Amino acid sequence: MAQLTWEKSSLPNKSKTSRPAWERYKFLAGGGVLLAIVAILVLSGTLSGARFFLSVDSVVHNASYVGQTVRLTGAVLGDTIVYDPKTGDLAFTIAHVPDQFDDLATALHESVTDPSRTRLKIVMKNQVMPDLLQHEAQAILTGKMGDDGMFYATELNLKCPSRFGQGMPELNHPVVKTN
Amino acid sequence: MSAEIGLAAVGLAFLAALYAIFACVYGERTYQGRLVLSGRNAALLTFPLLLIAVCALWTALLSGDYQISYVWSVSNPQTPIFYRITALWGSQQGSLLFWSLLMSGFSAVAIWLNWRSERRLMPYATAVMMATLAFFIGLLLFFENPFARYWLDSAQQVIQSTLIPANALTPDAGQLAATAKGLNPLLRHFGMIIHPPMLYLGFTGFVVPFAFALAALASGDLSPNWIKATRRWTLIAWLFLSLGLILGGRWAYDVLGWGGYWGWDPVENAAFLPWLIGTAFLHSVMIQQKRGMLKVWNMVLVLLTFSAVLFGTFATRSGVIESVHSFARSQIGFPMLTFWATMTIIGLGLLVWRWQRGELRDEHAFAGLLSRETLFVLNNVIFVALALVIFWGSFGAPILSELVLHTEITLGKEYFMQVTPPLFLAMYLLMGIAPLSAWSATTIARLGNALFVPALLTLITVAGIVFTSPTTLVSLIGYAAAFLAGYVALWETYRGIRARRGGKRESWAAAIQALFRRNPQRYGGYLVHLGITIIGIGVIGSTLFQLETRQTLRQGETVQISPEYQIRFDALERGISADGREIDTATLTLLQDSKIVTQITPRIDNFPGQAMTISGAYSTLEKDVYVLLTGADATGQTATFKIYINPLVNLVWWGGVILILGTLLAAWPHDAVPERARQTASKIAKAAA
Repeated sequence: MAQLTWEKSSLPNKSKTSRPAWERYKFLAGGGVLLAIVAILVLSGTLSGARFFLSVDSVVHNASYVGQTVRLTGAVLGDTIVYDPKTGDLAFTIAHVPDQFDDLATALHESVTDPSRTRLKIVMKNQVMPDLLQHEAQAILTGKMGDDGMFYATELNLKCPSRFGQGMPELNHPVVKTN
Repeated sequence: MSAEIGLAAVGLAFLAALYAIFACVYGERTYQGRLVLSGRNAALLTFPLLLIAVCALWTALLSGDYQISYVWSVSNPQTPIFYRITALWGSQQGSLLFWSLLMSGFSAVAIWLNWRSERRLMPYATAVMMATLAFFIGLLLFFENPFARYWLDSAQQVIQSTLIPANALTPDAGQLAATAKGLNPLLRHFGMIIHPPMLYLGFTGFVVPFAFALAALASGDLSPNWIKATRRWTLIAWLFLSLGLILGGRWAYDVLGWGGYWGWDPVENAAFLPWLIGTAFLHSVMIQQKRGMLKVWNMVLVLLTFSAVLFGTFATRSGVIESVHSFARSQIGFPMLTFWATMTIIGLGLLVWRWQRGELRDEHAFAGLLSRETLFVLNNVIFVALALVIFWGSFGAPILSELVLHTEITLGKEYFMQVTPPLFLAMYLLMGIAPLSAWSATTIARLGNALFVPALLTLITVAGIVFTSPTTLVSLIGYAAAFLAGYVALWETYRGIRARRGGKRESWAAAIQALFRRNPQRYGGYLVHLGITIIGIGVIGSTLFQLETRQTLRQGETVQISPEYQIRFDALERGISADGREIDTATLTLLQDSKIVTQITPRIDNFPGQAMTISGAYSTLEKDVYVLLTGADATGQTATFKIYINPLVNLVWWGGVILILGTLLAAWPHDAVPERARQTASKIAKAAA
């Protein structure tokens, strides 16, 4: 009985897979050129786009970062936020957050309540007031440290752990029922 | 009660998944058909069990059971019912449960549909799917339990525990309700309600092709069966992932108030990586189907796609990546990293083993530099190169600098804006050229002939742009590449229709219908190309020609915001909504040559503890006038606005719609054997009998 099949045999046909050596080199050369182009792109992009990701301590205590474009992270002090909607000028202060911590919310809370932590004033121009800019939010900023001890940021990303984390309820006078 | 039911269902689903792994693998190795069958049934059982768990959590959310810590963290008594339902994926634990449900759903359908046709692959494929599912359910049970509850210990301190601690008391329900947080206001948006489920469907859907590929490697059935069984699954997962990415962009555009939709954030990029590798796989799989080539490469791509899914999940959920989109830091980071590394190593290890045994040899060699298979491979290289450079910029450079230099170096937007455009340009050029080349070999003359009409149309269009719109050299090159890809897709479709009309004397409508019915994969693919073209044009226009201005206006004052438009501030209303938020709504009139075009109403919603800036926009296909209310004085007489004019931005969304339609067409079930061939085969069979 005739059988109609639309699938190719899974068995490899050795005779068809062989190709002249020069043909193989042609493909290898093409691949090499392509790889070189991508490598050059990545290298030049890395050199122009690389930013040190630093803590407030590092930026404030190391003068070599003055004038350099860097990224830094810190905890926002809510009562320092000043925003002028007419000009878009935004200023606030962030406090140092250590590199290692167990819980982000706790680390941010400790940063803003501990007066011994290094603090840094941030200045931004032509901004829309970010919705998440609030007390104890984590700010990730890109910009330059000025000679005047202020950080002039051009980009601001915010993360509010109380919104993305779970937290615990604070019950003032827990009226309890037994199980 | 909801917590107990949910917890029991999750626990049983975990046991069922573990049993399914054992029964399928051991049963298959020892030829015990009944054991394998029981493993299949256990795998199928995971879906109803997880559905029960999801229903239990929904019941808790809808009934306001705030003793469950998840319910307390994502809802409060003011939360509307609709947002209580969507709060299921509003935070880590619930979204992990939802993720597990979707994965078990995909697994159950794949098992159900393929069990008989792919009998040799299915036990192993089931085991892989269940291993992945068991891992995620394990995370739910042991790290991020959505049914954990608040208790009061003997010192009257609130503690969180899944099981009832000894001597624990129940906190007062009224106080729990009063302190409940409610869903993050930023997540109360249509795009954000649908975006996560779409993204999860895309992510979890890729488990099916991954499982079939691993099953093919483990069982030794390396025929095209696994490709045949998984192509549609890959398309479906890709469709949802595309939809998730587009909706995420739309959410950012509407809610985040910076007039853009893609910020090159590590978590955004992590979701883009599987899309890129998955797209490469969808193209190269055609070469294996048609020419029996790229067997190893296809395996690599399908393994890497799911590996990228797992890595993206780790990046988003572990909290170790600094991103505005990531969840809070949690304990699941290390287990997730371990699982990702394990699955990737197992997959690549099996692949190397089969390859060394010579079981993945290609059936044909590459014939010429301009053959369709060569150009498809080139297109694959571009997709993979894009994935690699984005991975390097988002994760590679920061991790490597930390390890080698002991200081973290991150690559900002500048890196991505410098490195990715040339690769996207190459992608669009190949999208234009590759479909016109023939399998095996094509001459330059033949390719030139095929390209003539689309290239001419591209030239005319670009000339038209030069004379009618602001341009730069970079934008013209980008437009030309994108238009070429789009015109090739349209031209090829037109040629198909014309051939049918000439040969079969069909009407236009009948010819179009027949064309898409007979070869949905090809013509659905062209529609996808058209969608990508339109997205590309939208991205170029909105990225390179965005205008922005800040204006402080008194009521009744009009200002010129662009050569074309003026805007007038009419009024500011202050009110309180039913759910307690204070809303400031500004009314502005957009005018063109002093004629009223429309009214725009940007607003600020002041939720307790957080404000939310909601844009107002006048949208046309040509541009968006996008207005943000940034502040107002106490009397409401003066207000400040940030105004963006975003040219062509709506093409990004409409291109997305066309891309989705094209993918649906390409994935639509159709007869693999044409009707006429089937009739001929039937006649031959009858004659032979």
